Amino acid sequence: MTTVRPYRSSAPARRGDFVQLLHAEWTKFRTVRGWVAGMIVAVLVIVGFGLFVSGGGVKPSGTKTGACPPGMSSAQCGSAAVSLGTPENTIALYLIGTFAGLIVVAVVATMFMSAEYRRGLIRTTLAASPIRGRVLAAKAIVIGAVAFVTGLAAAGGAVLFATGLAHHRGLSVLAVRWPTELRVIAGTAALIAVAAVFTLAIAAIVRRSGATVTIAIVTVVFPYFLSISNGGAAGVTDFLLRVTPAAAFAVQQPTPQYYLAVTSPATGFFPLAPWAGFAVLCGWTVLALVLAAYLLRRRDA
Amino acid sequence: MSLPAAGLNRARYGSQTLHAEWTKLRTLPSTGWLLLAVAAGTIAVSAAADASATCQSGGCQTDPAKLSLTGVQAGQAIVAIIAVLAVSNEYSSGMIQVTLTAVPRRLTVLAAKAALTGGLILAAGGVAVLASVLAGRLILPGHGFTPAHGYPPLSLGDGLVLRAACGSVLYLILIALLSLGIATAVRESAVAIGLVLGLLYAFPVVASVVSDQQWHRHLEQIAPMTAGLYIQDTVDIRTLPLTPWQGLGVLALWAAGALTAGALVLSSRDA
Repeated sequence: MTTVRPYRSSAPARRGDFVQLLHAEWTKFRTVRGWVAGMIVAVLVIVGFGLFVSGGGVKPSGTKTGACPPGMSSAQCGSAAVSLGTPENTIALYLIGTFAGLIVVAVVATMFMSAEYRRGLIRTTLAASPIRGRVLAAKAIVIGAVAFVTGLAAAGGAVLFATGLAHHRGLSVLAVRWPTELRVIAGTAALIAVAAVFTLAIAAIVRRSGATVTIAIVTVVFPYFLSISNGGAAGVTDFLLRVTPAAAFAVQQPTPQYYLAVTSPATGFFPLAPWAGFAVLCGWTVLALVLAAYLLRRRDA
Repeated sequence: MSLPAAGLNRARYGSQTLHAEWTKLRTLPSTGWLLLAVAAGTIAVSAAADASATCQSGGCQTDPAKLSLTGVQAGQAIVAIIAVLAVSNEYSSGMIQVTLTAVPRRLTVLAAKAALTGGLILAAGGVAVLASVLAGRLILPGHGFTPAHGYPPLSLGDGLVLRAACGSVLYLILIALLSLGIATAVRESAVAIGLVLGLLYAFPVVASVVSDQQWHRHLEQIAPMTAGLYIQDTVDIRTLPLTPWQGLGVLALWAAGALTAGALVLSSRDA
């Protein structure tokens, strides 16, 4: 009896191959109409939510009953003694649609991987590029880059248009310095990009699209949702926003802690510092990628 | 007779379809595990919520029934997966073509799937909700929810708690029907689950940053998750934007809309 060993090409890998691999994966992505449409939908969703919040959701100062920042009930706000003239809006508020755009991007990232398994294309892919880890790397780079561009367009558009609309309606927007604004916008784009790579790695691990999307949403979006909708005890959500990939939403924090009377993600405050929260997501993504690369090499396709 | 003569009796058409769907669902290894996950996830999260709550004195502004049913919010994600997979698995494997050849009346297939998924969720959700209430009854008194603070132990003999418990099971069933309808309409499991969870989470997140009271109220009234979960409230019901049963009705409308969309797509499009 001889043991059956998986086929590995003996052809030497050259440096130019990786560029070709990237090109192949990019072709796979851009030729599926639904995925490209999904990225456009993600941009529209994020910008749309921002415009909704600045256009209809927040009342102008004249008609406001009190100076409560959004996301805070009047009882909380009254007891919290907000003595600062709090603006109605922060730019983070205009990025409230990020979670919805993230769901759309996660669905596309899932299918970018799981479609290979569904149609058996993975066998062709791995026959063309027998070094399996490089396939995963190429896919991660393509989906990450596409998601970053999508996130940049979405976050930039949302902040730009929603701020314009708010000024047009006579709302005051919390002024932040340009490095902060840049960090919030680029950070949101990076959050979406890394979350897409995270989802791709999960898809390579579990290979089932339904399970992948659920895992991605429950780990990245659900803790954020729980904390922002006051659905759970503060201690629990605080803990979840430190250890789960959802910690990365901290990059959207527009103000330092002392500014806020009530510290909750709805008012723009997260338990971790912006880039520390983002690092938590990156850590999870690296873990998932390593496991995915290991399993991709070990398992039959 | 327009039916094929392959032993299909018109009177038994429905029950045979149901039996066929049941065989498909029962023989999938994932179904049992996912149902177990619904029960385990719901109970675990409910118990964790009970354990993390504290009530030092009277009037702790917490609804003990709603608190002990918190796990329903976690269980619904798995309920959505079960319902979505019941449909999308057939499309991803091509099985749907065999199914529709065997049962050419497509709406009968959808009805059978809806009935079976609903029944399974009734069983798993029932166990989960009963155990969650029991956990609340056992854990909450140790965290200050004592009769001395105005909180008698949770009991299904209390009409409001009974409504919250039964309503939570109904809520899970409606989430399953909503997911089934969406999955039938879009066919791809990833897209369907993304849509279901996006729909559930979007309204509460937007409502949380909207300070305009009227907008806030309307958003909560039409949100499938927020309105549907009003059924769990047992204190301060008058301050809710809708009555508990109206709230569950909103979710029922969403589910009916999704099933209608699914039925239209199923009967008009190529499989």
